Amino acid sequence: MIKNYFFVAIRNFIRHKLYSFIAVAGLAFGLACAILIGLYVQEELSFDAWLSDSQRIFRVDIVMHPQGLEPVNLGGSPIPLGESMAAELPGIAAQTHFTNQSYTVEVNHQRYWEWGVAVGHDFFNVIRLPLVEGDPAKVFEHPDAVVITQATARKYFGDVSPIGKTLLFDGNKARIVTGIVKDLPYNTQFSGNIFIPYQPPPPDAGSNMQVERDFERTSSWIRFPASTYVRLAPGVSQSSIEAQIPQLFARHISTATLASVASVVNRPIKDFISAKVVPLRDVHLTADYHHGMKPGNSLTTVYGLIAIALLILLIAGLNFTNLATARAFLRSREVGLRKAVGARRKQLVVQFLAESVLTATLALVFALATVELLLPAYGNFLGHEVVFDYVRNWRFSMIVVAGTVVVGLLGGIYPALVLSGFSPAAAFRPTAVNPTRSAALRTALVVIQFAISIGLGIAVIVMFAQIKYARQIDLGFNHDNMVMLSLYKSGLTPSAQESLMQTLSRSPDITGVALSSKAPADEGDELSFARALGNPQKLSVQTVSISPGFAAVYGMKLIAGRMLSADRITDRNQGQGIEDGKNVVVDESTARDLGFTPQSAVGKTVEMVFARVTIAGVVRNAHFQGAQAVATPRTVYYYNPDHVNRISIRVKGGSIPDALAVIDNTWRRYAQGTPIQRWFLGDRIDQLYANAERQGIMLSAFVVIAVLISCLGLFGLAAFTAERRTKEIAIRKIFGADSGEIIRLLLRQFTIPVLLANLIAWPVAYFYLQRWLEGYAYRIDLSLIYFFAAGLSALVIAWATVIVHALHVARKKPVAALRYE
Amino acid sequence: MLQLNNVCKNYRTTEVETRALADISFEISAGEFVAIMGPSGCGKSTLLNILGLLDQPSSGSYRLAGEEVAKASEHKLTAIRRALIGFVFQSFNLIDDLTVAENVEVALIYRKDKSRRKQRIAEALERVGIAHRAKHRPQQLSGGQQQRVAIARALVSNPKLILADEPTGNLDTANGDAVMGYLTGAAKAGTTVIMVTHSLVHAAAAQRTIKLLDGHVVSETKL
Ligand SMILES: Nc1ncnc2c1ncn2[C@@H]1O[C@H](COP(=O)(O)OP(=O)(O)O)[C@@H](O)[C@H]1O
Ligand SMILES: [Mg+2]
Repeated sequence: MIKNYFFVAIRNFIRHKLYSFIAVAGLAFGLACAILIGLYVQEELSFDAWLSDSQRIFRVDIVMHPQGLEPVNLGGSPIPLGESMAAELPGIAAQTHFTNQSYTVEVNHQRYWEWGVAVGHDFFNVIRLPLVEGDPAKVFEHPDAVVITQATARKYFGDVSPIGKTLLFDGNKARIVTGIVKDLPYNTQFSGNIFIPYQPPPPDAGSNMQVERDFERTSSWIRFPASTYVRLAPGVSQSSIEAQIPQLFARHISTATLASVASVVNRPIKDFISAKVVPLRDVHLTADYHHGMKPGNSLTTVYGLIAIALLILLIAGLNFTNLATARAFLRSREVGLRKAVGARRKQLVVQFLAESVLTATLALVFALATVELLLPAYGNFLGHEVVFDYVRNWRFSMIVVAGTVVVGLLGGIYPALVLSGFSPAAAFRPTAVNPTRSAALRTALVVIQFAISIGLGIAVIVMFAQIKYARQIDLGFNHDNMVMLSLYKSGLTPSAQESLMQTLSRSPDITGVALSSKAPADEGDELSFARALGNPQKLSVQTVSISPGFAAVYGMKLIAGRMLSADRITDRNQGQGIEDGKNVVVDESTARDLGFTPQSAVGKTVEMVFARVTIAGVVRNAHFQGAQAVATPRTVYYYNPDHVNRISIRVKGGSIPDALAVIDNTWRRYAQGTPIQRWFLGDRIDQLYANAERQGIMLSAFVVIAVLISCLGLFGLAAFTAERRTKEIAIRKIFGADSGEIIRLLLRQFTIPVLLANLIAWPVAYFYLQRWLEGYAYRIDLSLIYFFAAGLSALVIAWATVIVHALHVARKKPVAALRYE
Repeated sequence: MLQLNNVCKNYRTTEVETRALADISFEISAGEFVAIMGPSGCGKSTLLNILGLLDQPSSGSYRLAGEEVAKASEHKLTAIRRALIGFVFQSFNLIDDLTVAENVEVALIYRKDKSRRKQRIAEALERVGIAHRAKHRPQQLSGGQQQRVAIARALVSNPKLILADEPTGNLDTANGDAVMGYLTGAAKAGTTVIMVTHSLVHAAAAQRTIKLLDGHVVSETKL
């Protein structure tokens, strides 16, 4: 008898240990996931909030409203905007701006390419990036000053203090280091290693006509390269500032300038321009466009991650409830006995809730250990260090603890109520109470868990299918073995560029070379507008200057007409853009949207911002920004040897190292001392997809964990059920059921919840994924296959989880099972 | 109907080896009603389990319905059990989650015997006087009622052989007598019934009594 009790005790202990392990492990995984997501989200939400006065600082972005077209967010502002705002609008306490630049910097006879920013005079007064040396108010007192980051200082000077040292910019401009910026953390929109004070360019010496000078002066108002920041005086609202900006533009853009862009702006300037005044702290997550800044993130991603964290916690919490409810019925005797000796229901509820919270706390300890283990890899994956400093990040620590307690309470409340509701008589009943109602609830909980897992699973499958699809789309140009060089600030004249191109193309390791103003995957737009003569419909288009061989080098197909030629005077532009009366080549979508077929487009006249041009040929669409981009590309190609920034070099696949050596040597001969800037186009194209791919990987990692936690719960439940049904199974076997029938019986019990879960998950997933896909210009159809794949996987995973128990029970000898009843 | 020859059954646990049955030989013909008696632990249940193909002898031969089954495969045993045998237990062994009717149905579903299933269940329940409780769960019934359900389950498939292990052990006299009535009735209708009992009165209802002691047959009495 004692031996029997002992065995029962041991068996119960092991049984409870399994359940406790499952509840704790599931919740620990869930919490670890939520904490990792939380740390990421916290960082994304904290962008620039740490800068002093950040709540009073705003970024001013300009939006263009061409008639009959969607508004275009220019993602920038004119350089003089900030100063004019401060001078003319009330309530601007301070203003500054920056523009991105790159330059070569020479130190100790070494030249480096650097990304830098030219900033307004007051930059460090408005944007209080911490300076380790130098006075923010004085660093730019002298126009030849420069401020560098700690990392840059170390790179140039080692441990020697750089203050007062000279840096030679672009080989001709000496600047003296006056300040050092503390290395910037991840959570700021500002980047750049070098800060120089902005100086307006000297008036163009070549232009002596009054009209041209006038144009130069006011045309700075129709270019938008700057990021402008203002500090508003207390009590001044964003909207009041926004409202005054159109008038400001109207005052500054001269009629001459307006006339030259009349083809686009054929409406009052105040109807054409509007401003978005965005709080500094929101820029990272809301601005859709950032020239040269750290790539922004979207609120959708952040909210999506929060939702996933909550769903995972929900799954883990449901495990908790589920297993505790299942176990409750094993504890009916304990409850009965406690009640018989006088415990009140309230006391029991508190007891069970305390147990639950305690278990959750134990899970938290494991979760924190897991987080510590994973943080380095997580930081690696995200591309920046992530830390969880419990003390300094005490707010987050509090949220984590509070969240754990809430999960413990919510997960424990139902089982506590069920348990405490048992009557004292339960203690003396030979078998435990019949848990039909709670069995239905447990099934419902499993359904919810699997619905979440399946839904997330479908999302992952669709996301990867979309990424794969986007990567397979014919971009319309060939980027294999394409090596790119930047000609920016190389000092090469157009004829030297031409000669460099010819020299390179003579190498046997190089199959083609072309020049262009911009390369595929390059940042930045050359936006213009186009309108077919006699057709009021206006289009926004990208313009790219290319050398005549460009299309051939890139394998772009001509559909109608001819390519541009170096020999025809009307194909060749001078200056910086497109000249009046010249020929261009357009892509298919431009031809179509202008109202032509490719064939009928040839020979047609098109009105563009500064010129009327003629279409000489039509080429196939080329997706220079990858197939991720939302907008259909519309591109107008023109040939202007003066407007060239890139060389595209197609090298032979088998001899890349040789080709690179040829390129580097040739560059050295031509570019007297300017360091080479060279990259593989394929790498840049990959980067276009990197963000989406990273998000996909992140999502799938979390989905795997969600599924894992669901399965842990299912495993525990299956163990419980198998045990509870031992007697039933023995009886069925005695009356002739064979092992196969028993296994099927047990699997069926868990098949139905999974099938129900599919019923819930499919429509919800369909709804969200349909909307998600609408963000892609080139997208897959939501095929049922994705849904079946996720649903079937869930079923197979559920079966695999349950089958261990099923086999075990099915093989048991029935008499053995009934012996100890 | 069945024939045992030198059947032995040993139970081996890590330390001790128990000889539960030693050299058991007897024959039971079709339609016989046999009682098995003996003190607790003498091997009655073990014998019944072997007869019911729930367990296999360590040695010896067992012929059931003309077939040697002592060394038959699990699959084969299940098939024979399904076709030939019904069971009644001391502790009823009903499935808590199923209704009374569903419990009875368990004896039919694995026989793939679909004909008139509903009707046969109703008849079986009628026979043991429990038809009005068909929708109840076992927990809602008294011990005597539960055992009637168990009898109905054993009878519903018209088995050739019914094995009852102390079917009246947990019942009061009135209910015990009723259960005996059903078993006797079944035997009269031509079913072979083998019943373990401690009650001399109930054993007297059988045509033959086999007495066991320490795994040996010590006597056989025939009426
Ligand atoms: N599965 C088993 N493992 C070990 N010993 C067993 C097992 N089943 C029965 N025994 C032993 O075999 C003997 C006969 O048991 P049993 O047939 O149940 O007796 P009875 O039904 O006559 O009371 C007992 O000594 C019992 O302890
Ligand atoms: Mg016994």
